[in-house]
Amino acid sequence: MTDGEVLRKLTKTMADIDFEGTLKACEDAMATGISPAKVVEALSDGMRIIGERFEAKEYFLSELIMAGEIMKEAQEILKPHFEAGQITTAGRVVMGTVEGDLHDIGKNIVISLLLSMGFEVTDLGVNVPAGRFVETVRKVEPDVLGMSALLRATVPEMGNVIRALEAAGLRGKVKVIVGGLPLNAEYAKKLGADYYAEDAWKGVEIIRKVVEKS
Amino acid sequence: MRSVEDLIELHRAWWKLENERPLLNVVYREDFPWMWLQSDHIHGMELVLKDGSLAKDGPLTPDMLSPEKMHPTTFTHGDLFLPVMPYGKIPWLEAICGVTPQVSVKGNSIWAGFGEGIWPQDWWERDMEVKINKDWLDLLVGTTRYCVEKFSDKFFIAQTSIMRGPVDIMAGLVGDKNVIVGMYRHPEETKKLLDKLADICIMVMKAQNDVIPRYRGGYVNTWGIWAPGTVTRNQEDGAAYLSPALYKEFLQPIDRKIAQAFDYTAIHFHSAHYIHGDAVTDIEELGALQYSLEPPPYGPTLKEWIPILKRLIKKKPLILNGWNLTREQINMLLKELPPQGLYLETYVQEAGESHYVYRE
Repeated sequence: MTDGEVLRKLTKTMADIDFEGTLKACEDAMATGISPAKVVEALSDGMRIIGERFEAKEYFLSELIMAGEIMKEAQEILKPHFEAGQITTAGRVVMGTVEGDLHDIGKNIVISLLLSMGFEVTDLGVNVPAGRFVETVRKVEPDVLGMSALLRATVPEMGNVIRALEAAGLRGKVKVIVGGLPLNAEYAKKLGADYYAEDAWKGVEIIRKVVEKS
Repeated sequence: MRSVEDLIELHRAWWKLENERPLLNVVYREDFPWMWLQSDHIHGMELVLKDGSLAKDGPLTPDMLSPEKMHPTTFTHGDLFLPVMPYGKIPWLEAICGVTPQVSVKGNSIWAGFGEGIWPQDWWERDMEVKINKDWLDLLVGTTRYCVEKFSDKFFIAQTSIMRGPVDIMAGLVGDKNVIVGMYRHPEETKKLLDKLADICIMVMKAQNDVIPRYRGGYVNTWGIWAPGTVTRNQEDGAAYLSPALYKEFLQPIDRKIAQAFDYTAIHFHSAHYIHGDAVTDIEELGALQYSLEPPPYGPTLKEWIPILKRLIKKKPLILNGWNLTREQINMLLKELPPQGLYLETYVQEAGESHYVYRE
């Protein structure tokens, strides 16, 4: 197989959520001396197709979860082949589910996709009090703070966190993105967030763009 | 107010898609009527007037009342019976399978763990033995028995209202994400575990039925629908994350297994599960499908729902809970869907209408 064929296969297996096939293709690419950067590019192409299929409702959350898992494993294969200094952080993100809410599947999908794209993510988990968000933002100095909630009752907590960031003088230093089913763009704005993610995939896209801009 | 006999016949016809008018339950209050009945402190008793309507604010005079209406032999609301049941917010099934429930006062909920699971990451390589927490099982059965002893002279007793299904219990054991990973990477072990959990669900459901007295040879389910045989309901909340293909491969067989174990079953889905409606209604043994019609972005708009529901109701009776519907939307549902097999439960109060968020 030519390098081009190996890379195309990599993109296809990734796009098809073929776990074993993608990892095998990664190993084949490394064995044939293809640069890890090109492999990452091919995988990213696969991820782009996954995003398109998700938007088209051909893929569902289950596929996004698996895509994140495949990318995580693929990175483990590629890591030893990167030369020192070649691995850079795409951006820094802090994420958590707000206090009173234990739903985290959407948040976890975003985290796993961000990690697979080279972001450094601090996952605060679920039921996170406002104070902990503030402390972590102060300590980690992220580009983006992401908050998630599934319950109507807990969504206002996002506003409390944003107000706590303001009180701590940190609001201007971090972009805030919120996501969760009870939200919409208007509500997110009212809460004081900078961005609203309609779904996990859009959340990742927004974070990528925000970090690229900054 | 309809007589017990009328309701029994209406429900009997509904299960067979032969009812001539839809079953309706219009709730005027903030809470579900049966929520009042979940503790031994019964409050909010609704007073039915002579003309069959409910008493409203204002003066009450003797001519508005009749002994028959004030002392019904069985308590009903709309076209359903009001069952008393063990407290429904507890994730009973997960607790029985060893996952400690977690109370969240702010979230007004009780969750089955924190989504991370209690089993080791390599669960599929182990014996996958589910240790039954007998204390939780005894508490559920004991509470059901208490309801029978205390209330069955005036009310129907039903199984607890929330019994989450095998995929939810699996998520409690192995973690949310690992359910999906298991389906992709360890499909045989995942199927084996789900099958085992379906058996536990059936055992717990039967344990409750064993202490609930039959009425006219049947039971009343958690939605207050009488059936001429054994009833149960289950749900698969975690299916909301799954593609239709994964549902069909992994969950349809176990939902079928549960449906086969009882005469009249119903499965509870949320709006996000709309993609699984066809597969679940293909389960021949399933009695009915219940959808909670949460507004977008939880699921489709009502306009998008209509063709889906029209298709599904040809196969199975539908229980539709529309808590955020406007009167226009209620009318649209009643106009577009055939009465046969339709059961609509909804609020029609100012508060409900003012916070409706359906957007066409």
